[in-house]
Amino acid sequence: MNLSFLAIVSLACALGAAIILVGYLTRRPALTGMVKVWLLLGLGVLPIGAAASGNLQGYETTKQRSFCADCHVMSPQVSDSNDPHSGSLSSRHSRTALFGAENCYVCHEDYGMFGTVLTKADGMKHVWLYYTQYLHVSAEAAKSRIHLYQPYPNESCMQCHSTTDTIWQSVPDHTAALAAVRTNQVSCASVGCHGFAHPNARPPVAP
Amino acid sequence: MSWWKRLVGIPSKRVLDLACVVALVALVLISWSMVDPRPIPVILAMSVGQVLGTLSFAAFLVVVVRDLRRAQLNDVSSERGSPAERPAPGEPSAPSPPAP
Repeated sequence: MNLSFLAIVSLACALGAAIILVGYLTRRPALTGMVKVWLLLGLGVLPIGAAASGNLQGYETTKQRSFCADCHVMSPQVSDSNDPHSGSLSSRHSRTALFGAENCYVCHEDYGMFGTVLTKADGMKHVWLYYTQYLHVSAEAAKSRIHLYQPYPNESCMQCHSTTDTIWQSVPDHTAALAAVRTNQVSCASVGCHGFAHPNARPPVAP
Repeated sequence: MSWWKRLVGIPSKRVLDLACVVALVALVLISWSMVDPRPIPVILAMSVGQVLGTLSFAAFLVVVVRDLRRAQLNDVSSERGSPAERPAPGEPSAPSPPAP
């Protein structure tokens, strides 16, 4: 088990609080001022510390590719990302430091003003769909069912590939499709350009 | 509002016992998500764990405020010379004011 610093802090706070609470429940002392101070630690300060560090750790955990891989229907995508010899967009990006083990999240994150919240809300939807529709579907069968809600937005690619760089613009196909790329009429991840992003990727289907 | 009177009348020790148990459940959920970071433990910790932890702390604050208020009322009534307010059953009586 490889625990991060935040996880250790959270567990230490939880352990401290648990010791105080179990001690109170077993010894049952009179409610003096000092007992209330101990309970403030056991019910307030330490649990808040455990929850705060636990939430931060939980948030970081949900960004990891290994977290996405917990749903078996994601295993083809994750296996491809993990494959150092794969030439897919997702695999190539996972080999860069910026994306690394968080490449699923970095690519599929909504970059709008409320992007983080919207991305997490979508993630909750995926968990719901997994447990209600995909739990007993094989990864192979799920390949033909899983799809994007909407065309992959080029804005996500343009977080790094700005389309204003001279090297980028020196590619004739880029120059020809510049307006279409910036307005999402042509997807960077489409066949003939740089896609698909995953070996089993399918065009988006309206929900 | 009999339910409110009944709620207010619950002895502090009982409220705190319940708060401790609820807080322990919340801490178990949080700890579970730390050692087993899969979707269900993480979601449970960040939703049910948070709610239970907040409820237990709120219950503790209610007890503290209620006891402070009771002690304050006792002080006021003893200054006026009237009999001190009786504590709820199972409650320790508020400390008597120091002799002049």
